[in-house]
Amino acid sequence: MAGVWSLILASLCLAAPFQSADPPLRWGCDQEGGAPYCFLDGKLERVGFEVDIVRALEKKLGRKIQFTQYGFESLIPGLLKGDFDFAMNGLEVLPDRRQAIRFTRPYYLYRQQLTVRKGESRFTRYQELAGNTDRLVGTMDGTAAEALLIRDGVTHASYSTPTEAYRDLELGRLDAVLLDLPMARQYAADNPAFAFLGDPFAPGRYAIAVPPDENALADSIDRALNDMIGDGTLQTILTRWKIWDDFNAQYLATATSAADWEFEDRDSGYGWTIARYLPLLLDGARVTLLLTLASFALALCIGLGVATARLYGPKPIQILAVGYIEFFRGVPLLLLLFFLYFGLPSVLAGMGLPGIGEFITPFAAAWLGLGLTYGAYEAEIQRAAIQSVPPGQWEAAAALGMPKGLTFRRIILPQAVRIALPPTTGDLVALFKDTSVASAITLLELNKQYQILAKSSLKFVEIGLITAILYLALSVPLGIASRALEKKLGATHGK
Amino acid sequence: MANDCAQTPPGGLGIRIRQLVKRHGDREILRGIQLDIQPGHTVALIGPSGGGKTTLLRCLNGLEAFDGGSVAVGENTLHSGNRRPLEIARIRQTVGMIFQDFQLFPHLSVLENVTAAPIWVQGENPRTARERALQLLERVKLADFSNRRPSQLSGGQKQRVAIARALALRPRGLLCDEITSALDPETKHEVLGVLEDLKRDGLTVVMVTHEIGFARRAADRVVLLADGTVAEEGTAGDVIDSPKTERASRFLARVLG
Repeated sequence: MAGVWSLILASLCLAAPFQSADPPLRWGCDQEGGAPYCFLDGKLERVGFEVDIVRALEKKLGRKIQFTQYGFESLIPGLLKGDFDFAMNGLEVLPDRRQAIRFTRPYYLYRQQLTVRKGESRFTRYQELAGNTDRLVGTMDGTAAEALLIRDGVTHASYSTPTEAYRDLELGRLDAVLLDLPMARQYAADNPAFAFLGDPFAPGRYAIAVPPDENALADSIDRALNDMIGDGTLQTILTRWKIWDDFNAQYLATATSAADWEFEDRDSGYGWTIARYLPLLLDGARVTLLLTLASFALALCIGLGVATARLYGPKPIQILAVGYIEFFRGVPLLLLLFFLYFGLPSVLAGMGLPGIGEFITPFAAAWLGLGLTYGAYEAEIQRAAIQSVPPGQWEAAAALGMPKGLTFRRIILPQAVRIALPPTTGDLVALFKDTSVASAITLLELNKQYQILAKSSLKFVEIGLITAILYLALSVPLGIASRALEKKLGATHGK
Repeated sequence: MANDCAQTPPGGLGIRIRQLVKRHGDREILRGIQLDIQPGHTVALIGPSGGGKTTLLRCLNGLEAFDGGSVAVGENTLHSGNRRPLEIARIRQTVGMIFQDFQLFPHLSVLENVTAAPIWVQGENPRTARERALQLLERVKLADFSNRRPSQLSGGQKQRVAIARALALRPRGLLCDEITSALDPETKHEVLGVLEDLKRDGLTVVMVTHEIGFARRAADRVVLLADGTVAEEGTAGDVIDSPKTERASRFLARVLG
């Protein structure tokens, strides 16, 4: 009995500091692939240096803090929308962000680290990458590293997690990865396949973001962080996570989130004018259009093949065709693209076919994924169209001595194409819109460009409108052209 | 063989049907049909619906497989249980078929409907095929319609195109499956007129029909099929005017009202 009482007493004591009437503070953070910031360890427990800082903050603020899972690239919009009270997830103090939200004092000073494969000899410095379209550098969506790469004109691919970026570097799809030092230490320092190229550069600050009008909250967090620096709590945490370094030792105590921080690279605060982002959006539109046409051509070929296999193949082939249709109609496109881009190279390597992974570029994976998926839809459309040609047409052709193959090619198919045209047009428009899913595998198509630009500039409405106009400018002519084709073919068709 | 001549087909061919049996599941559609058709004759197949007329017609050019007996069309013979593609193909080159619902190819022009088989199947030079097709369209009085689409034609015009299409292969026989049933009385005559005209060329014509009047006027022989057997067979006068069987009298009394 005594044991139970002491347990209850102990839990009351632990709970005591949080007994204030305030509701818990909600902390917005992305635990997916976020080591060493905040991530799930092998036992599926949430750990990371930010988790430790938040625990220390709870004590200092005397208030419970509740974790809210939120996509990293949407943290700032989510904060402004009020989905949580503060965001803390390696958010860099960028000039464009400072205009939209309020930053607390920094809790860590990061620098950028360029990571390459061991033995890299084609370049020796970050500066050599600028303007060189043959070198592809990976980074993360909405990071200071990405802004730096855009500013310096480095060809880059933006991932949603560091894991994927470093994996693609290992696979040879990237020539380098530029990311904040904590991530480089976490993912690359212990990997014998990688080497750091040059010293860390372009210092910046991680700070906690609160909505612009929450001055009281910002002030109380500032005081708590200053306390933690004063009593060594913060240094203990950062040392435990092996990211404490001389730079932080020297400058963290006096660093602020003010604009004129002594190490601030003034150039990184660029104004996002239309002249600056429109060319990027237009390039995204070009990729979107190209991807649409290429994957639709693939889908048409697959569709016709699978439809004829299903209708006229021997039984096992028919079963395979049905299996194909059900499989690719049932698997979500996003999952398929992830598998093709991130999973397939290792599957191929496991089958003793290494090196093929390099050819699976984001565009190739998106082309294949969209083609396979829409091939399944097309197969059903074309099967239905072929079957809706009256059987009497087969007999009339047979009575004229036409063999089956000739009849199919010359009599049935031309009629089926006309019947299939309206649903196929709908399919094309759907595919066109689904190309946006390819942004998840770093393809710089229109949607991805929009996300990058909008999140960097925080001009969600302005850039969003222009992006929507570009989408319409592509899809409306598509619709008009197919209706014209329908009309032209329809005029020659009839009972 | 003298069938290079474009407009006058060579003499018709003979058809010999022996013990023809056709089943659908356990139902016998044709129950041992025995029938001879002389070269150049026009034969009308009449009888109540469900009597097996259309099925018999479709067995003649292999559109329908059968379960017993044999069919000899000219020099080619089909046997039950042994569908020989080569024989079927040869028969289809010598016997044309015309359907109740026309079955023109809607995506092709009238002219292309007629030239399709000569060019694609027989490998005829497209230019001569077109010239011949125009002559055939002239013959069915549709030369002015050669560039139209089937959808722009009336029913009677469509059926005349179908006849021209069948003639384009220079057949020696024609199988006609209720070719006037979908037409109104006026246009029926356009089509039947063309058929009578063909009779003069010596083509063998086997037609499933409900046109008792036309059968009496134009058919050399009339065959009354009922319940899968030949109930009566003879000249139009024999079968239509003085039927010998009870079954035939009942049917004729009904259709002649």
